[in-house]
Amino acid sequence: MIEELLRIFTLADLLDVTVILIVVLALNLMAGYAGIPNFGMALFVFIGAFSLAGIGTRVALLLTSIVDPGFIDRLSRAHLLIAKTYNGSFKDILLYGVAGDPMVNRVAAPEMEEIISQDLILSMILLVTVLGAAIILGALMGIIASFAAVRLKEDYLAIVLLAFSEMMVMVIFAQTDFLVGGPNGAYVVKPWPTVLEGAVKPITPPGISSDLMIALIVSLLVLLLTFVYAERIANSPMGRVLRAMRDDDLVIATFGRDVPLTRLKVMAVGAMIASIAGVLYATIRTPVVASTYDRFTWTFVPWAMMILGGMANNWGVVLGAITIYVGQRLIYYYTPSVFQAMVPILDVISRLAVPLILSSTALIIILLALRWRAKTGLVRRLATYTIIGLTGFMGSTLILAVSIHHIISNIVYVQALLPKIFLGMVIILVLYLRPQGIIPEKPARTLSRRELKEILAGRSR
Amino acid sequence: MVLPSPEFLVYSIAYGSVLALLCIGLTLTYMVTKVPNFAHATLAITGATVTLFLLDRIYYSLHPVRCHGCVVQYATLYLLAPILAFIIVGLVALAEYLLVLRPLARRGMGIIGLMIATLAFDMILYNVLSLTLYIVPAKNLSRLMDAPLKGFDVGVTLAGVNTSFSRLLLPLVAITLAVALHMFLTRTKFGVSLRASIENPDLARVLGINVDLAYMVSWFLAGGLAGASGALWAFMIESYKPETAYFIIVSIFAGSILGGLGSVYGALVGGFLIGLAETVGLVITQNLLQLLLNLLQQLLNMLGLTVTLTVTVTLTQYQRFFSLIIVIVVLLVAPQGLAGINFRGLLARGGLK
Amino acid sequence: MDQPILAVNSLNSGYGKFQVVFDVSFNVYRNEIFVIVGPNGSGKSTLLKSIFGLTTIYSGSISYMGKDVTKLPPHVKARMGIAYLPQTDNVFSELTVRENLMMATYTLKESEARDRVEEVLKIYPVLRNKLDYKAKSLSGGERQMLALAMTLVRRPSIIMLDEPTANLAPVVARDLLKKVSILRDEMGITVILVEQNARAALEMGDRALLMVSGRVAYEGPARSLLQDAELGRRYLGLR
Repeated sequence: MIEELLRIFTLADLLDVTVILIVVLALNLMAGYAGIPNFGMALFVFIGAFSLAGIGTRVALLLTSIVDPGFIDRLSRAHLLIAKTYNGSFKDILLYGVAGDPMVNRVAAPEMEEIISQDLILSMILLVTVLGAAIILGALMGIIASFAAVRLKEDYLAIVLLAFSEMMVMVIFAQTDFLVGGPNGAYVVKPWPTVLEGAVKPITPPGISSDLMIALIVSLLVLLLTFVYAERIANSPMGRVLRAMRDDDLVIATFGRDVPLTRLKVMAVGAMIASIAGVLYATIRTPVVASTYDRFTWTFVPWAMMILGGMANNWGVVLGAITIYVGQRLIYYYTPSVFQAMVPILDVISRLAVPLILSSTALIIILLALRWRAKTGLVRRLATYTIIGLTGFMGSTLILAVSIHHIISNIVYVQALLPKIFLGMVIILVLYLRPQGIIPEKPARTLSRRELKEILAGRSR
Repeated sequence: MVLPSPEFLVYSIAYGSVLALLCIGLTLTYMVTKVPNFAHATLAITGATVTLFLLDRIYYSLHPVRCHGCVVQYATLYLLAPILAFIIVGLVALAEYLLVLRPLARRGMGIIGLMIATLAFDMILYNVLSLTLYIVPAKNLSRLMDAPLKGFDVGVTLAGVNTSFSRLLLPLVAITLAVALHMFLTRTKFGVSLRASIENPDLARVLGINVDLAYMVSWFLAGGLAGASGALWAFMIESYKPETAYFIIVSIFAGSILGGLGSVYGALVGGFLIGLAETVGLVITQNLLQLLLNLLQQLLNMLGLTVTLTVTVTLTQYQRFFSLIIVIVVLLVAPQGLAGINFRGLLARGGLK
Repeated sequence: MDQPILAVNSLNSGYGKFQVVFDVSFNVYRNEIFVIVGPNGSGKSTLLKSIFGLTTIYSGSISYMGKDVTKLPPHVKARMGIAYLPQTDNVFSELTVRENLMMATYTLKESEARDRVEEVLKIYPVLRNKLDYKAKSLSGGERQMLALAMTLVRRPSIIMLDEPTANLAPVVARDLLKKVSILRDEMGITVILVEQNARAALEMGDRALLMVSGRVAYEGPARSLLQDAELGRRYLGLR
């Protein structure tokens, strides 16, 4: 059992969970506490990936050619392709740091990394520039979004944020070659010095790359900081202001709080955190291809996790994220064997298709009649649910029975799609049955009567 | 040349028609449920999928692709696909309303929850569509998915303009459907009751109007329009894959917001305008930029500078970005969209009354 | 006296937990104009809404033509012949006058609907010239007339008007009130009228109810309330 679980969940999964947890906590700050329907989360995460792949590589090339002036020449001689692209001038470095040509980028990135990681100072410069870029660009995007948030109604805002994120990631970044390599993506230069690699070596399990280990450790640290920060915000006066603002911003405005400014701060911080998560994710998922940062994975899934766990509750959000991630992995992993196991039963069903169709049609007609004549609402409702359930079940069973062998031969696709379909259904069910989430929002922690008395007594003394 | 070719004009009018129909549907559902339906683009893709499956069925009888004797098959395709798609997608949209949105709205779900629910439905529908393509044992589906469907469209030469049947059909379909919708909404008692139910459901209920039925019909119609236009739009997509069609959601929202999200007629005009802007407008902008660049080059040459600006301006992949900019400008300048602009007032102010 | 068409018995009602109407009882008889007056916030409108079933009723009963209708939903009451004309939002402003009337006769057969629309257009000839105008382009008075017409086409036996003259110019208001007596005189409809303009309403009313703070302060002939200097001065601003 444990062995099997270990086969399903690897350290790479742990990194994925950590990164998405950071993203969900950031989203919870914006959407759960501040009430901004951020349907453009994917953009904020991608900004981090861009900082590493788009800006980091350029800085890396610059640094490399400073410490090793012959670097580009050497590279050009060794690889004819590169000669065409790099002329060695500063302008070319800026323009072609990641290059539209994936071949160039793929060759250049590891060589640059080798040179930079040897030098502690160089890799620190790279790390600081990348993180700085992620923080500044992320905050900038957050501020732009909050400007929109001040002016637009919730639904318009959601539309604009979603459209904005789709456009930036999918159109600008995915289709413009020189930004992050267009459809081919860009290989990154990881900003970890060799010293760090040596440090994590003793705790790295065999078969795991030290890059993954470093990314994991740093992500866990960032996650911890994010969580502590989010909890502090939640229980601080600012958290109370945010929540009150979410419910009714007029009241807060009349109490003299600057609503737009508070929102702007939260959006900037949230976007910044998501952006840092994007950097960490990109160090492992190289090359960075913009189309990986689609609205399903980085907007809808975080929203789903937040809603399942309970909006405006950090513990709940963490629980929701882990539940959904684990659930999706399990569905992905077990889909082939489940379908395989169903083959014999479905073969029987497909042979009995005609009588099955006839009998279930008859049953549905009877139920319809029952529903028609029913006096009480309960019977009607029961009949309705049974009809929907039966039709759905019989229909899907028959479709399955007819196409099972085709499914088995295409199982790779089915395996990838099924978790998403289930997730969509689960979210609709959660919204219906428990919209407040697994762990609902708690009222902000306030002082108890006893504590208040003590304070007052202390003051009067 | 600043102006695009007549072939391209026909194309953009057809594309504008698709968007107009999609925007009408989105606006209608927005007016009924007060929530932007993020699944609307996927509804159109569902319509395109209907065409794909029909093509798969009659693929062999359509071989060779441009056969002149296959009138019956073509008629079946061009007629059956939109009609079938209208019904199927209408039912899908109705299911979205009945199974997802109405129960949630009745439980008092707020707008953010409802929007998430439409996103969730979008994800389900989109992935179920992809799944169908893999699990339905159709003969040539995989071959069809790789080839651009426009290869199956019948070529037509009209007044010296090389175009295709679906591109000529689309504006006609759009006009017919829009006029039919207009007649339905203004000339029939049920259509008027639909408008009444949208405006003031409480009063409509007191008058004995079945508001629920009216809303259900609105959703069905919205889905149907998306399906019918999607079925013909299939011939305009580069290659059939759900994700190639994914981004049209931005254009749909752009057209609807331009139309004001409160009037079916605004949506019609808004959608069509966005369609033109994304195609003709884009090409004109691109050509103008190129012209400007060339002029600049000549100027530099005259000044004796040896800087070469050999840049070819291509904006085609940024068409949706164009509509995003339009959305932002509209929201800043006229948040009510076209419908909110007081044209009479403007004329009066201009002394043209 | 014969059986009342509408009888309200010690009614307690309000919105949610917020009680507005306290222990109100009165009878309305066939073919009379029953005027409800009282200062602002005395619960007049809430009383009408309670009768029509739009508020929470805690206790008491309402009977219509001898049948208990306390718990029936609004649309059933509407079908039984009770009409309620709310103060605002009483027409579809995006629809034309013709379409509004069409909606008012939604449940009727085509030919019958046409006859009835003709009938009300005789009472409100102004509307005939504006049939293809959107309701939002009408003046306040015309809009109230349209609302009244939409109520009348369904031939109610009792009609409850909630401040029909609010926000109207005095001349228009007087005109509209004059039409109210036509309802009774020519169509035989019993009218319950809630009115701010107490003098004009009491002059045309048969009997009146004075409400103060959700309770009945007076019930009886309209004339005597008009002449009651004490009540008139204290609650109605009459001299």
